[in-house]
Amino acid sequence: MIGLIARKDFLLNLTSARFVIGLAVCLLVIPFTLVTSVDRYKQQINVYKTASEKVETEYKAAKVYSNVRPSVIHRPEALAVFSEGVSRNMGNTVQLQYGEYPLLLSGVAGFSNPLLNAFFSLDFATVIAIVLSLFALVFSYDAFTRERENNTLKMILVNRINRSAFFIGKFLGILLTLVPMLLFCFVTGILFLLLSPDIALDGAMWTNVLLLFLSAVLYVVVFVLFGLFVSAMSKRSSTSIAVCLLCWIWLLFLVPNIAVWSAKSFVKTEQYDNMQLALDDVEEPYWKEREEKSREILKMLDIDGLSHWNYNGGSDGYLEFSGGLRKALDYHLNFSTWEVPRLIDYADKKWAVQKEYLDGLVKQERFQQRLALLSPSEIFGQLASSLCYSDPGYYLVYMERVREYRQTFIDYVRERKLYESSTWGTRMDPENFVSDERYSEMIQDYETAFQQGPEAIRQFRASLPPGWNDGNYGPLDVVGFPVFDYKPHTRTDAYNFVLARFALLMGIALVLLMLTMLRFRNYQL
Amino acid sequence: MLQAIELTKRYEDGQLALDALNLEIKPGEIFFLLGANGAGKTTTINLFLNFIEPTSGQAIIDGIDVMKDPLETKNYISYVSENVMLYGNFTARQNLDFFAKLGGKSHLNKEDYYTIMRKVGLQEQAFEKKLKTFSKGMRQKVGLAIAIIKDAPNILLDEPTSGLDPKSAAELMQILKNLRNAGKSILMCTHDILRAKSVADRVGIMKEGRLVMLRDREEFLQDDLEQLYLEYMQETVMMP
Repeated sequence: MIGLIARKDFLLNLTSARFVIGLAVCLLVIPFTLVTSVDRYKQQINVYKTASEKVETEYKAAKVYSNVRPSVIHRPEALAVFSEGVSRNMGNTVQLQYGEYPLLLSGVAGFSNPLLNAFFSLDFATVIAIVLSLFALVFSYDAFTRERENNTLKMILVNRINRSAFFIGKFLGILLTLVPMLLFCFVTGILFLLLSPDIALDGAMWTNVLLLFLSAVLYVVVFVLFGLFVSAMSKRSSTSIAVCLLCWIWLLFLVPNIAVWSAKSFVKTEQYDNMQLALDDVEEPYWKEREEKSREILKMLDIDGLSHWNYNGGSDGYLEFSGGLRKALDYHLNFSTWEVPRLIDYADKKWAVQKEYLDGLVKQERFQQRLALLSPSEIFGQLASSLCYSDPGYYLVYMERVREYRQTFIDYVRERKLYESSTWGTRMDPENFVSDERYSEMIQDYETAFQQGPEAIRQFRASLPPGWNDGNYGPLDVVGFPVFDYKPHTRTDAYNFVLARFALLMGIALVLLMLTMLRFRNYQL
Repeated sequence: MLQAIELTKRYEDGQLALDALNLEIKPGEIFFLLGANGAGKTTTINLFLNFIEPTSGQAIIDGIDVMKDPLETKNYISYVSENVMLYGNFTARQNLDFFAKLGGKSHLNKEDYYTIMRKVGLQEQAFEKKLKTFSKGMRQKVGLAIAIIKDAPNILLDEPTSGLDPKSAAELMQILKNLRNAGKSILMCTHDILRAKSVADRVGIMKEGRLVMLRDREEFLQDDLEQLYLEYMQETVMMP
C-alpha cells in the first residue's frame, strides 16, 4: 500500500507543472552557479600560484639566516566550489615572524577587481538550501489538504489502508520526486569538477561530496516533513501554502540574519584597532630594553656608532650587511643573540592579548552558529561549509597549524642558535671586516676615487676585501628548514562537527515525522 | 448489510450531529437518506466509514463493528463522494487502476478496467484521457466505476447526483438498480426526492440528527414523498 501511494504521488508529481518549473530552475541556476564558483576558484588558484612562486623565490634567495622567513600561502580548497563558507572573508597569506604569532590570514583571496566582490552571488550549497527547500514545501504543502479538497482522501481511506501507511506513502512519493532533482544538481556539480582541469579531488574529498549529498537529502527530508506537518495542521491548501512560505522566509532569511545581529549585539568583541593598541602597550618595554641593550653593547665594544659598507635591516630581527667595521659585526652578533630570543618571548606575551581577541571572535561566531541552528538551512549551511573546508573551524584549525609551524621553525632556529652566528646577518668571513683605523683609511680612499672618476671608483671597489661588495655570495641552503604541510581531512573536530549537525537534522526530521503522524491520525476528513 | 444501533455523534463543540440512529440496510436494498444540510446524513456515512468516531452506539458492516475492527470493515464497503475530483493528471484508466489496487484488486488488466467503464456508461474515447478534461458527470461515472470495481457488498453514496445533468443522473440511477439487483446494500444520502421515488426501496428523512421518518417503497409512493419532505423541511426552517 505504501508503495502504491508513493508511486501514485511520484507519477502525479512528475506530470505536474511544479516539477517542470523545479527542473527548469535547477537547469538554469545550478550550472550558472557552478560556472561562477569554478571561475572564482580558478582566479584564487592563479593568485595562489603567483603568490607561492614569489614567496618561494624570495625564500630560496635568502642569503643570511635572518632572511630565511617563510610565508605560508593558503591554497584554496577545491571543495569550496560547492560551499564558499567564510572563505570570501579570508585572505591567503601569513608571513612568519619571531616577534608575533599569526592570527588570521591576510592579503587577497582571489578577485582582481574588488568592485566585483560587492555583487551578490550564491554558491552551490546555498542554491540547494534555497531552491530545494522551496520545492520540498511546494510539493508537500498540499499533500493532505489537496486530497481532502478533492475528496480523494476519503476514497483512499475507504480502503484497507491505515493513515500511517498513507502518510509514509505520501512522504516517499514526494521524496522520490525531489531526490532526482537533487541528484541532477550534484551530477551537474561533479561534472563541472571533473571537466575543470584546475580542480583535482582526492579520496577524502570525494567522500565529503558524498556526505554533502546525503546531508542535502536529509535537509530535503526535513522540509518535506515540515510541509507535510503544516498540511496536516491545515484544512485548506491556501492556508497551508501561506504558512509554509512564511515559515520558509523566516527559516531561510530571517533566522540567519537575526543570529548574526544577536551575536553582534549580545556578544561584544574587542575592536581590531584596540587590540593593536594593546599589543603596542605590551611591546613598549621591549623597545626600551632594545635601546638599552644596544647602548650597552656599543659601550662594551667602545664604539660610538655603527659603520657598514652595505646594510639592510629592520624590525623582527631582519638584518643583512656586508663590509665595514669588525666591531659592527661584533655588535650584531651580540645584539641578535639578545634580540631574537627576546622577540620570541615578547611574541608569547603579545599572544595572550591576541588570543583574548581571537577568543572573543570565536565566542561571537559560536553564539551566532548556535542561534542559527534554529534554522535547518543554517544547519545544512554549516554542514556544507564544514565538509567543503570553508567553515570558520577550518580556518581556525588552519591558523593553529600555522602557529605550530611557526613554533617548529623557531625551535629549529633556536636549537641551532642560528641568530648567534655571523651568518644571521652576513655571509662574509669575519676576518675580512676591518679595524677602525683601516676603515677610516678606506673611507678616505673612496672619497679620493670618487673625485677622480668612474675608473678610479672601479679600481677602488676591486681592491676591497672579499665579500664587501653586495651580491658576492649565493643563496643559503634552506633544504633542512621545516616546511609547512596541512591536510584538511586530518581534522577530527570537523567530523564531530558534521556528525553533530547531521544528528540534529535527523532529530528534527524524526520529531516532525512523529508530530505529523500524530496530527494526521486525527486529521478531519 | 449495514446496521446502525443507537448510533450517536456529538462533536467537540457540543453539536449533536446524530442522535441514536437505528437503521438496517439489507443486501439487495437501496436506501435513500433524505434531509437538509446539517441533518446528519454525511455524519452517518462518515461513521460507517470510520472517518469519525461515534459518541455512543454502533455502526456495523456485515456483522463487524466498525469501531472494533475498522480496517476489516473496509473490505466490505465502497464509497462515492459528492464531488468526485480524483487525479486530474491521471487518465480514467490510471485512476481506476490505482483505486482498484488500493482495494486489493491487483490482478486486473486494461480490458477489465474498460469493461467496468463501459458498464458505468463512460464513452470509449474517454478511457485514456486525463481526468482534468472530464465533465462532472463523467468524473462521477469514474467514481462509481471505482466503487464497483472493488466489488464490496455495501456501497455508500454521498450526494452523488449533485450538479449532474438529468441524463447523467438517470444513468447513475440505472447503475444503482443493477447493483441492487446484484445483491449490494446501498445507502445514498441525497436531497433528490425524484431519484428517491424512482429507485429507492426505502427512504428515511433526517432532521437535526434524528431519523424522523422511515417509509418503504409502497408507503412513500402512496404518501406523496415530496409533500412529506417539504413538511419536514418547513418545520426545520420555522424552527428558531
